[in-house]
Amino acid sequence: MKRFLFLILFLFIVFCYGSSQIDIEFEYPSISGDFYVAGTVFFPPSAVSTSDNIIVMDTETKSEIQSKITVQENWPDGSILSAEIIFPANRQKRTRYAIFYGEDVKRKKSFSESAVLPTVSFITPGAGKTIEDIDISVGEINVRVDRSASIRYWWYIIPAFILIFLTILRTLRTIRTQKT
Amino acid sequence: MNKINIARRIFQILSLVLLVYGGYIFKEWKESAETEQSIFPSLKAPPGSISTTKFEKGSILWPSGATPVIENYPPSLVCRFNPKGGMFKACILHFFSENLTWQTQIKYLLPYITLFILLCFLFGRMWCGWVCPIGTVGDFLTFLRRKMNIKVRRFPQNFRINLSFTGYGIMAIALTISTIIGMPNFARYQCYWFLPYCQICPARLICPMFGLIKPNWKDFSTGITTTFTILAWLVLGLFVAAFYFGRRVWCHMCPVGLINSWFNKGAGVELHKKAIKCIKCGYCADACPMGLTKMYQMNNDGIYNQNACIMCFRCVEVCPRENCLGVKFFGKELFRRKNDTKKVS
Repeated sequence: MKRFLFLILFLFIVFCYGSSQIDIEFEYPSISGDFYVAGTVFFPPSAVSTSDNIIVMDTETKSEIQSKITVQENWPDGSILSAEIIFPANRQKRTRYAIFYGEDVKRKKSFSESAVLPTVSFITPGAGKTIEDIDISVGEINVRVDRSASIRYWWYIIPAFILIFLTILRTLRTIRTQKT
Repeated sequence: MNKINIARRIFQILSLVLLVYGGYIFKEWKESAETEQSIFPSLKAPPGSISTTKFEKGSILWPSGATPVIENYPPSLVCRFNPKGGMFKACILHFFSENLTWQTQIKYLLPYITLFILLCFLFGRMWCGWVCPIGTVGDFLTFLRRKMNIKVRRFPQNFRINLSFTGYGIMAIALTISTIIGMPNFARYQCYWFLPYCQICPARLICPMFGLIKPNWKDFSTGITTTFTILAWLVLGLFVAAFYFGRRVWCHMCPVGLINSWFNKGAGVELHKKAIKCIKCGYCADACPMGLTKMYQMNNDGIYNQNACIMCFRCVEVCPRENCLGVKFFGKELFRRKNDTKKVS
């Protein structure tokens, strides 16, 4: 009985003070190379006090992924209600990611979005899948749309060549008559 | 003065008025005309590239913002820097320079090139002798020289050939620079090197003055603009001297004229000679403003068109022998010396 109570107590401590995990789900985009994964995560009251208590983990290699975490809303007690999390990923290195949070979690790796890359939105289990599009930030883009068919202008090459051919022909004739 | 010369002078003056003041005369007509889709695509600078419309007062390529009545490029030294934009957009060298820098797709240039070839094929260098406004200005300088009783200078044949090579060299350099600054890595040099030939062309300094606009004749802000300013003065000096002391010497090195000259021997307008009538008087060689002597030297019947000939027909006009020299258009006779004359004015 004592052992059972000890087990219950141990599990309570683990659940109360240990870190919690939120799995991340997103679809890998069709583009190759690096991209950003971004989304908003909601936390229970009094679970996370600062953004340093949130980390993104590669669940296959058990290593921390560098992430940028921006607190968006707080609970009345000051703990974090929601935070926007952005971290880099790569299509060629497919893996699974999860967010760990809790008082025993300390974030070591952070980053800033130095490069302009496509951004994929992630969802957390239980949340409705609201965004399926890929947001690509490419800066100012100028698009020139050719409204005409190419043939409209390319056909001028025929009269141009005919005229050049006639000019050459007549030039040769002139040179010939001047020589005789 | 003979009828041909009178006709040519009248045509030159009318062309000058039309090409230079066309912007004033036909601007309202253009604005009131309905905008229809033209067979000529609108050629505009891509975003990030420089264009003449971006130059403002103070820049060496000012004034250039006015749009012409007809956005086309006839085979004559029609200048972009005409007051109010003039009748046509610019010369063919401006066309190639601009579009090499803008890296315009060749299909959009084809309608313009085809029209240019057609006009050259029909009339050859008649555009230089009968239409070119800068040639008309030069002929006026020659007229002044004659009024002041200054003797014309005759330059040797080799000198004129070297002038042609100089013209080709300038044209090659201008087009090469235009191509290089069109590359993305060199785009930052466009503000200094855009339209390199226009920056030294005498037409850029002369044409704005027709609209009583002072051209931007100096820019010493950077080393490159200072170089272009000094080169422009030198070329203008050469232009004035060439027309004042000689006759149409400038036309030997004009890049636009050199492009036209490629079509001269195959042009629709043909100069014919009947050798049996020739008495070797040499009047044709003396009268030729380009200093060509082949007509005089030829001992056989045939077409006399030469690359440098500007088709002014002075040779036909001064020839004292009936039916010796004549002008045909695709084989159909236009006119021929009718009566024998012993005295030529």
